[in-house]
Amino acid sequence: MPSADTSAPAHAPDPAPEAATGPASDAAPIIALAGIEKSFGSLDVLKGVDLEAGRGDVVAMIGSSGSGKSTLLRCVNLLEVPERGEITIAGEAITFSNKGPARVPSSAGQVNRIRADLSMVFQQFNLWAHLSILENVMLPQRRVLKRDRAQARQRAIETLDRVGIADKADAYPSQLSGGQQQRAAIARALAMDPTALLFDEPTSALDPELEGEVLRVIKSLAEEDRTMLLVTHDMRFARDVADKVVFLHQGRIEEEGTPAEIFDSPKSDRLQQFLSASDHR
Amino acid sequence: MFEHCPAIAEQVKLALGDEALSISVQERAQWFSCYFTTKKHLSIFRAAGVVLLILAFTVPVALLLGFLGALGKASRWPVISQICSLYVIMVRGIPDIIFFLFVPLTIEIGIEYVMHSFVYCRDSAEPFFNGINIQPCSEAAIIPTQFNRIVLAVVAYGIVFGSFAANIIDGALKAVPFGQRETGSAFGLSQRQVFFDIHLPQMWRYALPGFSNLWLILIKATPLLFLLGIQDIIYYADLLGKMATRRYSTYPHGDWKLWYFIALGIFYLALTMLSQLVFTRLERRFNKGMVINETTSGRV
Repeated sequence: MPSADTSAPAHAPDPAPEAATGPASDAAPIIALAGIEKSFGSLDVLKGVDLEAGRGDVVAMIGSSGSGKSTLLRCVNLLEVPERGEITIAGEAITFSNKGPARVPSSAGQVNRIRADLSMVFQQFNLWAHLSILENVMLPQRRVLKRDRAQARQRAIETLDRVGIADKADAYPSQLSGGQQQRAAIARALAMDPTALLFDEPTSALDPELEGEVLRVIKSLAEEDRTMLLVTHDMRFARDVADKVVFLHQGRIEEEGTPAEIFDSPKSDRLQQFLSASDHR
Repeated sequence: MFEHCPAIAEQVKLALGDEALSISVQERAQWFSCYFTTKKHLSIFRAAGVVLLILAFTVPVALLLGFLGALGKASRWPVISQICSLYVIMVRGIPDIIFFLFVPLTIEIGIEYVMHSFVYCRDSAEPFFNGINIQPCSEAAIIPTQFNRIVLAVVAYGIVFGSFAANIIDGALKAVPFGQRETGSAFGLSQRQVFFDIHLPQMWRYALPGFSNLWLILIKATPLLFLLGIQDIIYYADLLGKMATRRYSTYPHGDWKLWYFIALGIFYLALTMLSQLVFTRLERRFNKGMVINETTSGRV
């Protein structure tokens, strides 16, 4: 795996497990999913998926529409609750209990804590429409991390500057282009100083000429050794930024490996088909 | 200030009886200023004040009940959600007028029952309901003072309009795109925080047109106050507009009902137009950043 996790550990909030999990230099994976199964009604979307991302890994999930890649990503921060399977974030296993026929996380506090540690960037940006860009970036910091106004503001300005739209801080989301909105959404995620970032098709809602600015930002984050999980349709981008590429097909991981393995020498027929089809895009 | 009034009134009255005497414009003006400030006439201004007062107190009551109804309808406890659904359906489905008669009456009887049975007349042999009549003992009986009637009016209007408000709020809460709330959850905000920081502030934008409508309907429903025995502006307009003869009145005049009702029309029109102004401002404020008619405005 061509990872660069030897360089300095970039971020501050780092809970205890590292010491506890023994000799392995990578320590525990930041994100570990095991045997994830999820269905919507009679439709089985995920049929037993295992996935791991170590510290500093950038994992790209590819696959055709309906392969379950977005659902898998949403299971990581429990926006979807899988019926079966284990989710472990930075060594902490999420506990579930049964409520009637459904399985639900047993502690809302634990879920919220984990979510605060895994910031998500959505396909549709989902900036809060009634708040200015600055307020958007400040709100979760204030409410979840309990930062005071000055701290939150300072961090917001830093991250907005980082994504290159500090000048738009007082604008409302609807006044920005799609690319700017998505960069603001990335700033909002960064400002939480999360252990890992989750990207759900971050450029799929953008016009081609706006994709570039967002991709550049994400790429620069990947180069900082942040742990990132990325669902994307953009093969070139996946090859560019990912340490590991996972190909999902009909709710299962069909193939996974380094970008070189996946894109240059795909083994399964399905992946070959998928890649040749997406080349035509 | 009005010491001159008896003299003016007398003078004009004389002039009306005797065609030889004429009334100057100045005398006319003085006469009107006196006429409008008689004790009897001041009561129509007070009645207008009462209308505004009832409106002002009804709004918070209706909003409160509206929120309780809308949030209660979505409650996870079936008892609460069913009661709230029933409230919304019942009040919507029954004509307002019946409610204005029914609600104050039930509240009145309810209070009297409680007072009769538990506070005042516990020793009384007389039952509250003797099979034919409801008879609270004298201490428990509510005296229908103007104040009591106004309180009952506020409660009645609050209940009826609270139900409409509940519908508006319910719809507005559902209109906020799910992604907006979900994103809050995705960042670790609690359900409470999502509601107060995201859902509620965005709801207003969707609720405001409905509220603006409802407010106008409420204003226009105030003439129903007479059903509650409140001597409202309509009552006084009718009373003061009646022809006043020279024989019985200090300020005799013809049948002026037309003018009084025109004045009432202007009063209500001014009230609604002012409200429109306020709502336009509110809308502008809550619209900030919100793009709602993205697909319809500015595009063909």
